[in-house]
Amino acid sequence: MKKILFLLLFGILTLMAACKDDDDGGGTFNGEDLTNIAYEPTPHELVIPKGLPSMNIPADNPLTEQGIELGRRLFYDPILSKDSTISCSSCHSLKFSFNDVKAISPGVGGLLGTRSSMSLINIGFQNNGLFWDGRSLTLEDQALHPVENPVEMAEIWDNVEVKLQRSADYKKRFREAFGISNSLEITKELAAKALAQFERTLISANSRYDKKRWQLDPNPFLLSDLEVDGQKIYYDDLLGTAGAPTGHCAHCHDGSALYSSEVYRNNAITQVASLDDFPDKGRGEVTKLRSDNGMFKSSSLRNIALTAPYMHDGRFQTLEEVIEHYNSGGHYAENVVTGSITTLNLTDYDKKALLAFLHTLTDTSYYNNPAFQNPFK
Amino acid sequence: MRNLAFLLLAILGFAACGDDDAQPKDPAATVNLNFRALYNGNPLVLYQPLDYPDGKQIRLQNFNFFVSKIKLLGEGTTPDYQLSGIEFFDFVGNQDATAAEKPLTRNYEKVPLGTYKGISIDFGVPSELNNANSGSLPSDNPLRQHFASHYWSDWDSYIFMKSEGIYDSTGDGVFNQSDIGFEHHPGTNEVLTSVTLLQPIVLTDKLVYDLNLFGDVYEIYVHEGVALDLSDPANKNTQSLSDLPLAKSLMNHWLSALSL
Repeated sequence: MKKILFLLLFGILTLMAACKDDDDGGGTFNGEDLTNIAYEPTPHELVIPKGLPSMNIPADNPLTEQGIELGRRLFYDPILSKDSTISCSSCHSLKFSFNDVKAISPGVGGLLGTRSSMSLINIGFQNNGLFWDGRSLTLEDQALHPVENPVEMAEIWDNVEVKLQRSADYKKRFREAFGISNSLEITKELAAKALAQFERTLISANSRYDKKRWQLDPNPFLLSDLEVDGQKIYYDDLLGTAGAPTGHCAHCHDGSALYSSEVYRNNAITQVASLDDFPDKGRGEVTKLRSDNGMFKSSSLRNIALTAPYMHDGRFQTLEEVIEHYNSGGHYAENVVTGSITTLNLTDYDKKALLAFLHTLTDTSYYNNPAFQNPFK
Repeated sequence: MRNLAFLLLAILGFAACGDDDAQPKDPAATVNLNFRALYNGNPLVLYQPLDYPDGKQIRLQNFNFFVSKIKLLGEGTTPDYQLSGIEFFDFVGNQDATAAEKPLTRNYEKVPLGTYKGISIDFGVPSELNNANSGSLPSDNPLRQHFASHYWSDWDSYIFMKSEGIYDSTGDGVFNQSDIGFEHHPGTNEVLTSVTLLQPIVLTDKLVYDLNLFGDVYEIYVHEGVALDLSDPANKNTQSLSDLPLAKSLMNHWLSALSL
């Protein structure tokens, strides 16, 4: 009897010990020691093209080759979503300037939110809030949101962390990028840091207008006469000349080669009885200022020809419709800056010229950059 | 012997303390620069009707500007002292009377004590910084922080001041689409304006000094009793290169709009 009891006890203890090391066994999992993997991060030097400002890179998240590559993999990996159907790239596709061509991007199960996705090109240079309403101040914070948004990835970070901690490949890559010593140290914060590192490399500054503006190409005929006329309308060059066309575009879409002034504006697309009546309060939801209701961040017009449909809710299908809207002056509200959002009286030629100029902001030179492409294909 | 050693140690200790105290310390003060925006002498409240001299009203939505080379002007043996090379003041928070009472404050530490005869401030961005290269300044520099919103690439210049609003041109007391919006964005080196205010600033008797500045928007639009005609379409927008005279005059009016 004693022998049997002893054997039973021995068996139980053996099982308990086995469970301790098995993450599927329901016991305490102590993670996997990763210190046998080399941690030798290689600093990545960003080359900032002419016309773009400096990039704010947090001291606690310097760019490394390993961190950027990890971020690229996470960006393209649907592992971040609840049912492994949606990755960041689902709404931010390389061929559409890291945007999509949908008014509202579908999330897990085809659920729709309320806003259009934003282009990620040159996102690392932005320093006045991210998202249409500016609710995130850093890329590291921004990257945390879509995962738990019920109409985007619909997952919870605790689950994502477990999935990443179980992946042999990710364990190695997190170790190589951040020097963690144990797989349990893979956290959402580190995942967000890696995503932010990758996003900071998404730089574009090689459009025809860039080449002209920053004298990257000596060809004096880079822009046609029509495009040059459009440029003058865009930048109000002819303001003050009686009867000359002006578009007031650059008040919200300058910032040098960013083509976004990073301002929040009510661009008069929604007719409301009062500032309290916007169906989507946008910036006002964040600041709680009534005067910010209905305001959204002025997005970059770089590659705008690739990122239809337009506006925060994707209501305009074409650039022609957008130009027509601004030409009309839109819908008045207290917080519309009517000094520039006003009836423009552009002629058909002016509209054509403006459209032609907008097309000169297209840069597809990064399409074939292997560093931006899906690593799983 | 032990007592002697103790005494020596004590003397050494005192001597060490004495040395610390004797180390020369630069006498210095902290200057708090408190900037308030006014409209005709009252705190400026955005999105509120403001009386214009022609009997009509205006309403401001945005008011912000760059100032540079903020200098205390020395007197006698006190040399000039530059408090700051560049600052940006944005009164976007002035959305009710209580908020409008509060100044925007910048603190400058280690300001040498002395008697200063006044202050000089440039309104705008100094020419050496007024170009695209300032976008490459560190992220905490106001010229980098506001690069996207204030650098106007077609001029290769910053917009020095943004004053945006609407003028009730119909005079019906209601602001709507029929009225005239205005957007004054002067920039370029030609419109940089230096203002000097002479009033003794004595930094000898206190270590924290509040320097209260007031910028009256009314004075920018109404100069020596003459109001800018906001009903004239030519005065609706100011982009400097095309409207240099208007841009210059608005910026020059800081000479009377600023007070201590």
